[in-house]
Amino acid sequence: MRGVDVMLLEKGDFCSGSSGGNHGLLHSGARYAVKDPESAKECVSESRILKGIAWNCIEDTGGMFVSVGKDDPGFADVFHDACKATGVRAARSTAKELHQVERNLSDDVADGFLVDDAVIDPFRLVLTNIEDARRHGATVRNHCEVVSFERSDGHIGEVKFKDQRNGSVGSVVPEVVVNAAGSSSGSIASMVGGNLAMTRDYGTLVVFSGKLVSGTVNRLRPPSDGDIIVPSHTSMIAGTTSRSISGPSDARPTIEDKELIIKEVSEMVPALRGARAIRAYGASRPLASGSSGRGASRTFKLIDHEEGGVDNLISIIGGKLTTYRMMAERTSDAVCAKLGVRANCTTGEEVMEASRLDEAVTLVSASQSESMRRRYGHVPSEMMNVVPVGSMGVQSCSCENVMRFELEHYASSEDVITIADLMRRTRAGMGYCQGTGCMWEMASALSDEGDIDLLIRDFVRERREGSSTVIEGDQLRQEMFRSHLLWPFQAARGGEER
Amino acid sequence: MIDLPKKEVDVLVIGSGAAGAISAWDSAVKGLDVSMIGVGTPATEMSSGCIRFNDDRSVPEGLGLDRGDLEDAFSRAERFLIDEMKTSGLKMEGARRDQGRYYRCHGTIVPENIVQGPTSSGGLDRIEGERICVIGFEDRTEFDHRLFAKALAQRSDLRVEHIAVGTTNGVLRNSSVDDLLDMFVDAAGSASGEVVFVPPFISLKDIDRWEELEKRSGRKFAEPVMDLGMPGARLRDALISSASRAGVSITNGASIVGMSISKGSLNEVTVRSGHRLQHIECGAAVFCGGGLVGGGLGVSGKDVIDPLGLFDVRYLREGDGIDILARASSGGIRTGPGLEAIVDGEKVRNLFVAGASLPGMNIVEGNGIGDAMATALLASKAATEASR
Ligand SMILES: Cc1cc2nc3c(=O)[nH]c(=O)nc-3n(C[C@H](O)[C@H](O)[C@H](O)COP(=O)(O)OP(=O)(O)OC[C@H]3O[C@@H](n4cnc5c(N)ncnc54)[C@H](O)[C@@H]3O)c2cc1C
Ligand SMILES: Cc1cc2nc3c(=O)[nH]c(=O)nc-3n(C[C@H](O)[C@H](O)[C@H](O)COP(=O)(O)OP(=O)(O)OC[C@H]3O[C@@H](n4cnc5c(N)ncnc54)[C@H](O)[C@@H]3O)c2cc1C
Repeated sequence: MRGVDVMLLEKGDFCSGSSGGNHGLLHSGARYAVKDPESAKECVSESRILKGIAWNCIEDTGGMFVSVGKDDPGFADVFHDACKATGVRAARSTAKELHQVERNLSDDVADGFLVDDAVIDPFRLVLTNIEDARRHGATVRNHCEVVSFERSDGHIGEVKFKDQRNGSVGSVVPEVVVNAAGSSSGSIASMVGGNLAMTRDYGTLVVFSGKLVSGTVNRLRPPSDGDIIVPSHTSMIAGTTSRSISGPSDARPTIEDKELIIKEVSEMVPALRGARAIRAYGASRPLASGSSGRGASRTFKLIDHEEGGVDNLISIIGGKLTTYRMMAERTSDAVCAKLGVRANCTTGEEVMEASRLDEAVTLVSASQSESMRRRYGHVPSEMMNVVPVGSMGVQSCSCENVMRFELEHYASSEDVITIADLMRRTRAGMGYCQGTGCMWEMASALSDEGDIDLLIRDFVRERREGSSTVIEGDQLRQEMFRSHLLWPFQAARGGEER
Repeated sequence: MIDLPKKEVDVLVIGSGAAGAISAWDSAVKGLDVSMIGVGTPATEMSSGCIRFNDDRSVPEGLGLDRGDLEDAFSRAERFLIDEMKTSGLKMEGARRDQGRYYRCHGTIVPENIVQGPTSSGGLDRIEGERICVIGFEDRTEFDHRLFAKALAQRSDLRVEHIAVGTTNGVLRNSSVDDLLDMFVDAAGSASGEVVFVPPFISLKDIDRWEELEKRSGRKFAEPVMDLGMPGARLRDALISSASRAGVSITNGASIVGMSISKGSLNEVTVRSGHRLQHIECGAAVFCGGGLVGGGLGVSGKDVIDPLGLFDVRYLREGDGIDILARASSGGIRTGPGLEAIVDGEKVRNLFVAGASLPGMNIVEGNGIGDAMATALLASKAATEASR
């Protein structure tokens, strides 16, 4: 957008890092008002901007902070004052008023605040950014991992990357390198001989089938474990936890995490105890400060490695999904300064373009266009090219109401090589049956790209990792059923993975 | 609730899947008065109807069953599948493969064997020819011909083409067999393949028309192994037909809701159908309610339970890791030694358990229909003796 020639390299799929493993809460700032005012202020301004420029990725549900029975009654005043001081809107409300908004709140809810929280779909957000960046001329490649940097005289020359599609190694010689590798930023910096002090803090989230809340529900207390519920599409997500980790092997949800979350969030919404948990997932927060856990600031840090002896490397770490645009703006300011580019950043004003279909020519049924609007924020016009003539075609995923033509549309993209890639774009496979039936449909749509057996096996492994922490009750029977369906398939593969 | 008049039978079989049907058949052919009561869709009907008899007998042996008795039961079950199913109209074909014997209906082909190609030894299904045509419905209501064709091509060096017929949703369900036959013969005419795959569509009552299909088009026809469809339904129909021919009185849509047991002996079973209750006095009973999918077992939290709240349930949680599925498969109704059910820690002398309700008999760990049938024959033998 500022006229710079840019290439983005991502080792997995877009949004497969922390951005795809978070809670999807577009923070109004309220959560950070008391302990982290700087972050709170950033959230206030950024959440407003995003509601405009990324309208198709946000459900403006509103939210609340509630105090429950034993919570410190004095905290409400502290919270209220902090919100005022940071510019966060928070309307004090009685238990009765709160119950009118959320009918499933516990009777133990004493009082609380209504706030401007919203729900953001991270997959949609990242994909919309990618589309918009491409429209502005950027080269964006997923499944391409940066594997080495050539460095001489404190300057990065050639950067090599490996394309997972065929194992080929490509290279570029950039003038400036931006390291935005999330929790891998430290290792990227050290590949160049730079140094980056950061901590990795793992958080777990639990997905429940169905919705018991219409907006976000937060606990009115200093940020701690299990104090947020976020409604998301056909499900709700509860979390989170905070645990400092040393490497990727600890980076997975545990049964203790899950139990702690359910215990805590059900104090706000008791019916959650009876809800069907379908999956647990998580990610690590790449925190900028030396301290870790809940005490660490959620603000971000921009590092120019010039002082560290590399003159064309900039790292950006920390922050929140909510403040991603601001982080990007600061980063590109620094890049432009290095390149001598004077153009201003306009990401705060320009709405990201999404190719919407005019309502009048909508080819799909009313219920389908409603579902698509929920999932994509609009009915994407380019998808209509693949709607079969004279019919709506076949439904491929009944949990999330995804049609075959949607799968085919994304399957034809060069970005998409795995079933999970298709899932992230369409939500097929994210429902309570976790892809039992639509997995085959996705494999079929992708079968020109790859080995069907491998596609299925990878997807089953990925889904099972997420479900194994939570399966019990009905979900356990569901998984048993799925095992039965997979049995002939797995037996046919020589009994592996049985 | 309306109470129906009390009934008396020699042997009552609960559940009408593979285990229930063969068990009821066995007691009935021995001249006993047998009733079989079931509800819902059994796993047997959801299955692909492809039955494996594993050489590995460790699961049923682990239940304390005698090796010799087991061998006998397994070979009787195999004979039943060949002879008795044929009388019911279902021609089962079997072959020995790496770890056991596999049976499925004539015409059904296991794609796995196609992988191994026409020349491999020991394959269940050899494809005579090099070209294959897969016919499916454009809107793929139950069978995705494109995926299947692609998988075949990827797994073998056969040449595979695919053809779509029909475009209206639900064409499979709404068309008569005559229409479908015409459609497939037409489509096959335009194909170059020597073997033509079609979605499983011929039900038990029309099974002989398979030959007609082959005669009219001059090609060999096959259907892929597929669950939740016709092959399983056909198998179940044939099983029910055998039981019925043997004189079993069959009730569908009724469930057992209670059992009265005293001093280690079952006296009476309560059956519910809608708002009607019936008490059945029986000499012996065999519980073949199925596993976690069939409905004989349920889950509460992480525990495998019996939804009747009656039996002692074994649930092996040993071993670490979070592979709860494997552990859940090892759950089931406690028996034994032998197949007598255990209730409140005590054996019940005339109540037996068979099939997927037994510990370890659920897929992923267990072996499916073959083991279900073999244990059912042992249970019916015991029930027949106990009822006298
Ligand atoms: C449990 C949890 C809950 C959260 N909830 C919220 C929330 O509700 N609201 C909110 O605003 N924020 C939330 N956050 C914070 C937010 O998720 C993160 O701050 C944000 O997603 C970080 O984005 P990022 O782009 O810096 O990192 P990432 O999304 O991790 O992106 C880094 C990318 O770099 C790629 N990469 C790494 N190495 C290489 C390489 N060698 N070559 C090429 N690519 C590479 C990775 O694959 C990855 O995709 C949460 C975080 C966690 C952990
Ligand atoms: C999708 C799928 C694919 C499979 N594929 C294969 C395969 O390819 N090969 C293979 O060998 N096996 C396969 N299996 C497994 C196999 O189907 C089962 O192991 C086997 O059918 C179990 O038989 P059963 O008679 O014990 O139980 P079921 O067939 O489940 O029958 C139990 C019946 O008892 C009824 N019942 C339960 N409780 C009561 C009650 N209280 N009162 C009255 N009735 C009751 C149930 O409703 C049910 O109808 C598959 C299973 C599934 C679900």
